[in-house]
Amino acid sequence: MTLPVSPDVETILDSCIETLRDVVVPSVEGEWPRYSAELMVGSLEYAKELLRGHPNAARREEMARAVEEVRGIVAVDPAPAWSEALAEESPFQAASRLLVACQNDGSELSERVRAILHPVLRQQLDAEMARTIGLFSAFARNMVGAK
Amino acid sequence: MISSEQTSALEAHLGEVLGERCRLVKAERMSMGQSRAMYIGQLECERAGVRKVVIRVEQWGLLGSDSRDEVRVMRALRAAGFPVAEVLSYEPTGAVLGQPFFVMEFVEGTSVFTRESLDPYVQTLAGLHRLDPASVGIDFFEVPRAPRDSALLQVERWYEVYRRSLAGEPSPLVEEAAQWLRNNAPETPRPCLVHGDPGPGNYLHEGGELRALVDWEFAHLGDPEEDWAYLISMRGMGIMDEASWVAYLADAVGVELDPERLGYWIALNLYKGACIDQTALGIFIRRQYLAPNLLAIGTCIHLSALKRLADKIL
Repeated sequence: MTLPVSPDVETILDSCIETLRDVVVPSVEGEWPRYSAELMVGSLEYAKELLRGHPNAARREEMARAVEEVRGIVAVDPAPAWSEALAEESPFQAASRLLVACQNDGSELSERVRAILHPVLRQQLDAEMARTIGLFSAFARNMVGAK
Repeated sequence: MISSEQTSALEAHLGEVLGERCRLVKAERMSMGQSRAMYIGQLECERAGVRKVVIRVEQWGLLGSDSRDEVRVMRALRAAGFPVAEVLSYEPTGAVLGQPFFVMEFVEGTSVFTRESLDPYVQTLAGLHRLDPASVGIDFFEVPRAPRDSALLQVERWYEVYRRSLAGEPSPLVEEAAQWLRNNAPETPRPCLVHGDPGPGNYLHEGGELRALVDWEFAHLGDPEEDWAYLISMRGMGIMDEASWVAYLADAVGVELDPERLGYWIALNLYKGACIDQTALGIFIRRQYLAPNLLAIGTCIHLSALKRLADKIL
């Protein structure tokens, strides 16, 4: 017979996390196996976050929208650095070249470009850091030396 | 882990190097060190008896350095009397363990920070910066020739590592930071030998005595302030705040750190971290080695360095 209901992935992952954290980690004696087991807990927590919604496509769309916004404001400036950057197919390549151009340009227009791109990038950075916080904590706990 | 086949190959290799038959009776991986897999090995040798060694194995180019220069600089410094572990063998081909590695003597001591270990450590680091590298045979690093080369060579070195190992799209914040660092590179009056990863965790001590400086894979010729900035902002961050470190270093070793220049070198170290951490993500995503520490380095550790970098200069 089939199961009346299959457990969902998140519940199975939670079981793995709790078992690793409460049963496996305390009983592991070797330095490297214990460190690896602690990192596995953090890895599984990160995997759970990604299962709730993988961010790659959304990040790309947000970046593409920001680059399009930049296209509107740099159209007044004939400097080739802007048009070359905006000719990039990838929005991340385009944003990279735009920000490099900003560093070399230093004009008020550069500040406006940065004001469009930076908040998007900062928000993406903060969101991914939040997803990986468990992994970060596990890694930091095992940093030898500065304890 | 080291397989039984690799153990046999390693025993044969060590037998040749040490000139006697040795059996590797134990090889336990340490959690210390990320760029290399490090094992404490216990040997039983026919003549020398029980002997402890450290086996330091490369990991698919993780963190963008190789053992060749690390071994060369360790041997040169040890010969010059610096507290550096003796390198017993270097195997660059990967034929024995699948990756290049070297074996060094085991140095007794701890890497856990104590306040009493700090003075001898910073004095030794300052001594390293005063050393004339060529006079001790360190003539294999690229020499910063123009006044701003100490900074610019490092910016380009880590940029190249970052771009070569990139898994997916470039990070616009890394690209912008690289350009900021190029545009704001300071001059270096007198390039010297730089450790590249100094601070607590990367030196061994016992009873207040410095036993060895370890982890030389990032050594290069450059600006001594790069090392001081790394000590202050990375490995020593949890020990004192920046102002206290600056005052301490002025008092302990007479190093006067200009805030603006220090800020640059802190930024360069954060950028270097963000760049080299991406090598871990590439190795993980390409499934070359699926260790969870690589996932951590390639994601949250990279992001942490990038955030601090962006907060500092962008």
